[in-house]
Amino acid sequence: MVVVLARFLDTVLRYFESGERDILQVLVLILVYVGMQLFVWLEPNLMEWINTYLLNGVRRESSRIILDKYAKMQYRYIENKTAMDLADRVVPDAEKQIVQCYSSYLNVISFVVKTVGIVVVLAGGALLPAVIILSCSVPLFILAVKSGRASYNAVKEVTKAKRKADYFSEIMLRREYVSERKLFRYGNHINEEWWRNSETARLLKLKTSIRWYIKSKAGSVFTALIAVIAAMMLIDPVMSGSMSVGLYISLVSSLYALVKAIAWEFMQDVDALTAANEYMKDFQKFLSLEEEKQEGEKLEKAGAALEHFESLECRNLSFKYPDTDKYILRHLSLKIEAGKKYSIVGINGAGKTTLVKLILGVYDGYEGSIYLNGRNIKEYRKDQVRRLCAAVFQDFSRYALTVRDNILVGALRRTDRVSPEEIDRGLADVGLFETVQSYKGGADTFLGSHFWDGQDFSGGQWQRLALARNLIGSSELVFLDEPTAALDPIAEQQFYDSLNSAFRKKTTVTISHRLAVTRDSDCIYVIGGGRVCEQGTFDGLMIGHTVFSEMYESQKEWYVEKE
Amino acid sequence: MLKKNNNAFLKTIRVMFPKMVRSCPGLFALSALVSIANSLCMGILIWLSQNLYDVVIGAVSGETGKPGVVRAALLYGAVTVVNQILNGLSVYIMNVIFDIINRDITWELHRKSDRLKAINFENEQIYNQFQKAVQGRDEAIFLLFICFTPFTCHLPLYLFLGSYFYTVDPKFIFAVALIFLPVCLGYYFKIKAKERLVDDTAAPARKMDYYKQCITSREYFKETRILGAVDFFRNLFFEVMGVVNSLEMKYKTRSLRIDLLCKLVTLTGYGVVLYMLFSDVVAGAVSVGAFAAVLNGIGLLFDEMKELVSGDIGENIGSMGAVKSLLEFLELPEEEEKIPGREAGSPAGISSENASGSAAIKLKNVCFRYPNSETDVLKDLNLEIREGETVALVGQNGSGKTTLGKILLGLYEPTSGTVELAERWETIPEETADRRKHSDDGKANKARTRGVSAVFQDFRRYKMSLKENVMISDIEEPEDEEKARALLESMGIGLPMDTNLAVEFGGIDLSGGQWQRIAIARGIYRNCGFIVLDEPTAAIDPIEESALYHKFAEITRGRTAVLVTHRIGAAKIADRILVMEEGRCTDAGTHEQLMGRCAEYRRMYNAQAEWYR
Repeated sequence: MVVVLARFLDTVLRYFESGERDILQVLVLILVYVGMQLFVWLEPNLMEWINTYLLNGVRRESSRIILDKYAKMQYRYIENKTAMDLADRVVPDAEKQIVQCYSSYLNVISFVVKTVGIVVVLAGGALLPAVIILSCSVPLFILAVKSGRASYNAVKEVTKAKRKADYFSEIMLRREYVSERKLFRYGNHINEEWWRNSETARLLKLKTSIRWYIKSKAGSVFTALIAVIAAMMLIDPVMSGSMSVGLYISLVSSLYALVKAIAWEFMQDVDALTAANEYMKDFQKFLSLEEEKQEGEKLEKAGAALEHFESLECRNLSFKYPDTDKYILRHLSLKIEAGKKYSIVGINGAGKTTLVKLILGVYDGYEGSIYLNGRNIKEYRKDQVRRLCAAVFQDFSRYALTVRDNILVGALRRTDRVSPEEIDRGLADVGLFETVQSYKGGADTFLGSHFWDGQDFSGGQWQRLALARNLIGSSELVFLDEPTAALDPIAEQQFYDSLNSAFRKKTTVTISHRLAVTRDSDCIYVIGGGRVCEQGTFDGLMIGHTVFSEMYESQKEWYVEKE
Repeated sequence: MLKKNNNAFLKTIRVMFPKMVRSCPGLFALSALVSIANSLCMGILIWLSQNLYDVVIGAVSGETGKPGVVRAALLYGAVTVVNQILNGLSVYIMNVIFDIINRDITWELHRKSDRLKAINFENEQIYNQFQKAVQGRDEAIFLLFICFTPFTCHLPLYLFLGSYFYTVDPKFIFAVALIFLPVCLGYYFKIKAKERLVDDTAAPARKMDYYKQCITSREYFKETRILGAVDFFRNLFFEVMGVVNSLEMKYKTRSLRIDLLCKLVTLTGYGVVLYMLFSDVVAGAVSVGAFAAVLNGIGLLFDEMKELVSGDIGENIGSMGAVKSLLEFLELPEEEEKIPGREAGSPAGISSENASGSAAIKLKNVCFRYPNSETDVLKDLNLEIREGETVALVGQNGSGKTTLGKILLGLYEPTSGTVELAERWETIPEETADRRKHSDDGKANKARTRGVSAVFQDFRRYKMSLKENVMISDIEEPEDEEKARALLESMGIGLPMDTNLAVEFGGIDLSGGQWQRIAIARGIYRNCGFIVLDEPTAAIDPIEESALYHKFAEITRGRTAVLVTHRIGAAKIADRILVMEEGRCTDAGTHEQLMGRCAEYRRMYNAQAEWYR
C-alpha cells in the first residue's frame, strides 16, 4: 500500500514541479524529479523482490493447505473426473495464482488512485472536464470487468477443445505408444486427427480473443477521445491564465499516458482480477471437498482397544461405486481370524479388490457392516485400522526413493525403530537381497529414473519391493492382491514357497487367479455375483462340481501330461 | 562458454527463423508492417506533442490563435487513436502467428517422433531431451518470436526518436547513449544470473514436484495414504522447497543489487540531460514544447527498453535451454527410408531379401543391447522360424523374450548380426509420408501383402471409441467393421461398436481384462502374416485365460506367430518352444522333447505343474 500511495504522490507531484519555473529552485527540482524517477524505476524491482518473498511464503502455505486437503479428502474423489479436473485447475502453481490475485488487486487499486489523482489535479484547474472523465470512467470499468469474466469463460471453453487435441499429441509423442504406433503405423492418421482437433481449438481461441481485443481497444479509443476533449476544454483556462502552461502540458501528457495504460495494463489487470476471482472460487470448492469421516475420533477409548488383530468380519456387505448403479458387492459375508492363511478367488470384476478397499477404509459408502475384533470398524480411527491391516495392491506404488526408504515408508506407523538388519532380512525374504547388495550404494541406491542416477528396477523387482515394504510394516493382517502378477514362474514358485515363512507372523489373505496357490490356505473364499458363493479348504472345494473345481481344472489342463 | 552459447543461439535463430516465416509468410509480413507503423506512430506522437505544446504556449502569449491549438490537439488525438488501433492489431496478429507457428512446429515434432527409431525412446538421454523439447516448445517459440520484435517494434522507434532528438540538439544523442549503457550492462548481468538460477533450481524443483505427486497423484495416492506416509513425503517436499526458495531469494537480492547500481548511474546521467535541456530552454535554444516532448520521449524509450530487455527477453531467457532441446531434437537422425530391394550390405541392417526355402524369419548371430547399457540383452542369437509355424518363447524375467519379440517385429535393429524376413512382410522401418495435405497417399501401399502385428504386454488403452480402438491397428486399410465386430465377439466383448471408451471425454470405464481382450482383437484385426503375442493374458482370469489360449491356437494356425508367455503349460499350443536364458536361446523343441532334455524348461514347467498335481 505504501508503494501505491507513493506512486500516487509521485504522479501528482510531477505535474507541479514540471510546472515550476523558478530558476533558483531548478537544481533542487531536477534532483527531486530525478529522485522521483529513481523511485518510479526502482519500484518494480523492489516490488519484484518483495513479491518473491511473498511468493515463497505463499507457496509454503498454499502447499501446506493443499497437501493437507489431499491427505484428508475422501478417496472417491481421486476416481471422480469432476473433482480431479478441479484439482488440476487449482493445484498446479497455486502460489502463483494466489499472488497474481493479490497483485492484480493492487494494480487495479493503484490504477484507480492514479486516475483519481489526475482528476483531482484537473478539478483544481477546470471542474467540468474532471467531471466528464470521472463519469466516463465508471462505465469503462464495468465494461472491463464484464469482458474479464467473458474471457475467463472463453478460456475454459478453449481448454476443453484443446484437451482432445492434447491427447492425440500424447499418442504421437509419448514413449508408451511407440511400439504400437510404429507397428500399426497409425502415426500419420493420428497426426491428422490432432491437426483437425487443434485447428478447432485454435480457431475458437481466435474468435474469442478477437472479441477481447476489440473490447479493450474500444475502451482505449474511448479514453483517447475523452483526452482530446479534455485537452481542448483546457485550452480556455490556459489562455485566460487560470491554469499554468506547465500544468497544462503535464496534465495532457499524463492523460495520454492514461490512455496507454487503459489500453493494456488496465484491461489485463481486470482480466487477471476476474480470473483470480474465479480461481479463488475454485480453490474454495477444492477445499470444501468432503474429507474422510473419522467417527472413531469421538470414541476416546477406541485406541486402546486396538492393539492386536484378532478377527475381521464382514456382514451383509453391499457396495456400488459412487455415481454408478451396479452393485459390485451384494450381501457379502466372510470372516477372517488371526493366525490363519486365507485366499480369495474369483473371476475378474468379482469385487475382490473392492472388498479390500472397503476394509481399509478407502471407500466409505457401503451398506452392511464390517467388524474388527468384534467391534464395528467405524468406531476406530482410520489410521488405527491401517496400522493393523495393510495391503499390497496390484497397482502398488513405485517410489523414486532409495531402496531403504522405499521399504521404510511401509513402517512409518511402527513405534519402534527399524534396524538395518531388519531391512536386509526383509529384502532377503522377498529375494532381493543379493540384487541390492550388488549395487554400489547398497540399500541407499536411488530407484527409478525420476532423478538422474536412479537404478532401474524391473516390474518383478518392484513388486517384491512392495512386498518387503509390507513385511516390515506394523500390520498384522495383510491382503496380497495378485502378488505374483509380474513374476515369472520360477520366481512365482519361490515367492509362494517363501510367503508362508516371510509372512509367518502375519495373517494373510491372498487374492489370486492362480488357484493352485490356495492349496495351503486354511480357508478359501470364492467370490461370485458379489458375494461369497463357495468357501472351504482346497480339498473340500475340489469335491463335487463346484465353481472352484471348474476353474481349477481349466488351469490344470495345460499341465496334464498326455501319456 | 559464452561464445558457444551465442553461436548456438545464432544457429538456432538461423534454423528456426525460416521455418517460422514459412508457416505464414503473409501474416509475418503484415505483422512486421503493422508493428513498424505502430512504433512510428509512437515516435510521431512525441514529435506532435512538441508541436502541441509550442502552439499552446504560443496561444498563451498571443502569438497563435485558438484554432491552431484545436487543430494541434485534434491531430494529436487522431494519431493516438490510430496508434491504439495499430497496437491492438499488431498484438493480435502476433498471437495469430504464434498459434500458427506453434501448430506447425508441433506437427513437425509429431512427425519427427513418428519417424524416429523406436530404440531412441529407450535411450534415456534422447527421451529426456525430447520431453524437454515438447514441454518447452511454447516458451521456445515465444522466445524466438520476441527475438524479432526489436527489429519491427523497437528499432524504428529508436531511429525515429534518435533523429528527433538530434534535430532538437545533437548532444542529446550522446547523453541518451550514456544513460542506456549501464542499463544494458545491468540487464546482461541479470540475464546471466537468471540463467544460473534456472539451472540450479531445475533439479530440486523436479524433486519437489515429484514428492508432491507422491501425495497427490492417482498413481501414489492410495498407497501413500494407507501406509500413513503423507507426512513423510510432506517433510521431504518442504525440505526441498526450502532450498528452492532460498535460491530464488538469493537470486532476487542479487539482481536487486545490480539494478540499484545501474539505475543510480543511469539517473545521474538522466539528471545531467535534464539540466542540459533546462539550460537550453533558458538559453532559448530549445522551445518549452520540445523540452516536454524530449522528456516524454526519454520516458518512452526507457519504458520500451525495460519491456524489451527485462520484460520479454529477460523473463524468457530461461527458456533458451528449451529452444536448444527443440532444435537438437528436430535434428536427430531419422529412421532411414527403406528402399525396396536394398542389399543387406550393412551388417546391422534389416534386409528384406527373400529368405530361401520356407524360413520366414532368420536371425543370424543377433546381439542386442539397449542404449547406455553395458550388457547385451540378446547374445549371439541364431534362430529360424518357418512360414506358418507357431513358436512359443519361454524363460525367466529378463531373459530377453520381449526384446526378441521387438527385434522380430523390426521395431529394434540388432546391435550386430542380421535379421532376414520374408519379403512379403513389411517391417517397421519404412518411410511414413507426410500426408497432411493428401491423406489418400496411403492407398499407394495397397499392393502390400500382409504386415506384421502384435499384442504387447503394455498394450495401450486408447481414449477413443471401441471401433477405433480395434481398427487403429490397420488404419491405412479400408474399414472392415464386420471383421472387427466378429473379432470382438469372439473375444467376449459385446459392447456396441461406437461405445466411447474415453472416460475423460465422457465415455465408460472398462476393467483391465476387458481392455486386454480389446487389445487382442486389435492385434488380430491387423491384416498380418506374422504376429507376436507378448504375454497376452496377464490381466485375464483363469477360466478366460484358458479359453483364450485355445483361441490363440486357432488364430495362430496357418500364421507365423510368436507367443511369449509365462504360462509354460500354455506354450504347448506352439509347434515349437524356444527356451530363453540370459539372452541366449538355449534349446528349442516340442514340449515332450524339452521335458526330456532341457533342465531349465523342466524346472519352469514343474514349478507350475507342481501346483496342479
